[in-house]
Amino acid sequence: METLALYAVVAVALGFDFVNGFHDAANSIATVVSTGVLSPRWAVLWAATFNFIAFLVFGTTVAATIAKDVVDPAVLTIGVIFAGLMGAIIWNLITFWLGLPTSSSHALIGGMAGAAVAKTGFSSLDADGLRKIGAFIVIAPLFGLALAVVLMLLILWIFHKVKNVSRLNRTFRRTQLVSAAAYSLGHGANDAQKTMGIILALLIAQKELPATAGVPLWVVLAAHSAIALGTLTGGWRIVKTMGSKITRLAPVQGTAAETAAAAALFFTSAKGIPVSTTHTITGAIVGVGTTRRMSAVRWDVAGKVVWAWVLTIPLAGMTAAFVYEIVNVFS
Amino acid sequence: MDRRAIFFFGSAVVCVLMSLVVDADLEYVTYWLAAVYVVLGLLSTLDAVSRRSSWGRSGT
Repeated sequence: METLALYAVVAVALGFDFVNGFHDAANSIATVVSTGVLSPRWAVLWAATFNFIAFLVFGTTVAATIAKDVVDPAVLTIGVIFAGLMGAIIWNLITFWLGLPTSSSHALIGGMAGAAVAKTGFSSLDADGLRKIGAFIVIAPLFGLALAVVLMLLILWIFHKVKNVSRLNRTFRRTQLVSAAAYSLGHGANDAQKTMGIILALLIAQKELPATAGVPLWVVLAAHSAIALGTLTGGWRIVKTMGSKITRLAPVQGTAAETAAAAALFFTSAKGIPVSTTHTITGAIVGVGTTRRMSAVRWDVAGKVVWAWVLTIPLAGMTAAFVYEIVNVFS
Repeated sequence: MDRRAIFFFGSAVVCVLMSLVVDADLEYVTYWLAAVYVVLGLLSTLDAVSRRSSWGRSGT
């Protein structure tokens, strides 16, 4: 029975990864689709491919952070992890339905924290780990934004004498394929690792693995496959918000935004920091918007997005706590 | 003052504040970001000033 429950929760974790893929697919491909570089069908295939191969490039340090630095591993049980995942999935589906680009990662962290608090109170939270993650909730979008502005200024400075703007745009339509691929690689690396971290925590909690164990290869492959499959199914509501509602993008701006976000994700993945890929690309898109003028950014839309960010952790946490109480009644 | 410059200077302040929260081995990230935002704020201010003065010249 325990083994069956274990596999069921692993399946739910992979389900979360799948939802993450179609929820966040928009981030990787919104700019490529909105600038007309690729058709939606080819764009999702392109993104899914690079989501999958990310496991060949990056390690599993983010997974270790999620597994060991959010909640005291001793508190984790199948019920807590299941409730945490359900809290994150339900919140993701609500924001997906509303078309808000919130962070699946923060939903997951909020969900795990909420379920753990429901079980043993606030003492179950790892204050140091949450502080590190919390700081990067703020830093990641600022990182993407700053890099995007600097990149845009560099591009404008290098090409300011070019008279043939349409030819320049054609060039950047091609470079955008590379930047979208790099961003998808970063997305696959950082986000798939969060699911790996959850499965690792589960396997350790169930004594299937020792506490010091790394992520097994089957978990790595399963997580990357799930996120890539999710990306393949796509999420068009959020593409619309990301690709045109915050600010309108030309190929050159798409290239700058994706390259900046990819660089930020590569850095944080290498350092083992679980960041929101959504926040990072949103910051970068706002960044390229500000190089035109402040009014090029639709601050009312950006403001709604920020509110959704602020509410993600507490609301996903409360949902998870509620699910945990229900699970407790039936177990 | 230029709204964009205020946004960049504000971001620089937030980055400095974040240095109080992040781990010591990652503090340099916040300082670098703050420095980049200060430079962007200064550039934005200069841009706004030069636009205003060139607009003033063409207006007279």
